[in-house]
Amino acid sequence: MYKRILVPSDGSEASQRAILAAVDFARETGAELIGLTVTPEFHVLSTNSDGLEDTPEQFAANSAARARRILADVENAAREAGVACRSEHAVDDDPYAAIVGTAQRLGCDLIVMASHGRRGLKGLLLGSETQKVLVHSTIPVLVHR
Amino acid sequence: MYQRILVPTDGTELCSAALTAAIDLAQAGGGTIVGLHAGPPERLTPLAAEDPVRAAWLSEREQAGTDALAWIARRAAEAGVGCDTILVHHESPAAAIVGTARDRLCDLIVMASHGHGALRRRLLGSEVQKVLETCAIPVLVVRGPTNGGG
Repeated sequence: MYKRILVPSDGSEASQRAILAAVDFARETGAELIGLTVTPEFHVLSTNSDGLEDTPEQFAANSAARARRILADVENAAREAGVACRSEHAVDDDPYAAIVGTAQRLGCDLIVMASHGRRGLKGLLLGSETQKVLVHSTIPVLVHR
Repeated sequence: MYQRILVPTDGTELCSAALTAAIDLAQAGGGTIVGLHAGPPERLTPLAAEDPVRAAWLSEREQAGTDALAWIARRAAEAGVGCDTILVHHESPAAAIVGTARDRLCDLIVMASHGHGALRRRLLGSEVQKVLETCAIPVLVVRGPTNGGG
């Protein structure tokens, strides 16, 4: 059975549901959880108006703060359920690549994620990152609605 | 844990990794398995009378589906897991899968992602995609029998 489960989250509502499902699943199978969030790299030119005037250092600090907030949800849910958990923050413009790479690097045997994240049309389609993870992952992926 | 796990099969060996995962989960959680094969719609059958090629194709498909379901039942029995098999006819396998999952009150679907060969490994099976887009329950997507390399 599964020993180490990777739970990527972008902080969206769908991700929150996937986190809760992953925590339940980990408790029942006795697996360890690894929370992961991926934030974009610093770009001088960006369509994201929030970060336009940031220096790379400010941007990194903001990203880290956002990652901590998202990962705290995973850690809190795991702690309440008594599931072993640690967190990873990756910086990558392609979240799917970081998700698949982290799963490989840490020897995870399952990825649990939402069918769509922040950018998906709500509940209608398969999120683009989820789809890319499904295509590139060599380990099983449990997709939650 | 999951109590009723749907394992759709297209009659090829692609679903073997998915079946292994489903049986492991069923064993761990005391669940049962529902094997499903969605064959071509029956309304095509009358045409088969005049077309021997189509008739042969249909009966071959039917046989492959029946064999695949028998194999699922045998694997489940060997593992001591309760198993039910269903053969349906539907023009859209994905719709048949989602509909059966709903009718049989399944709480998980386990499917192969169709990872076969250099190019196929880069593609997600179209039926998996449609199931993921339309079903309301979790779907466990497992790589095909090559299991890795991609």
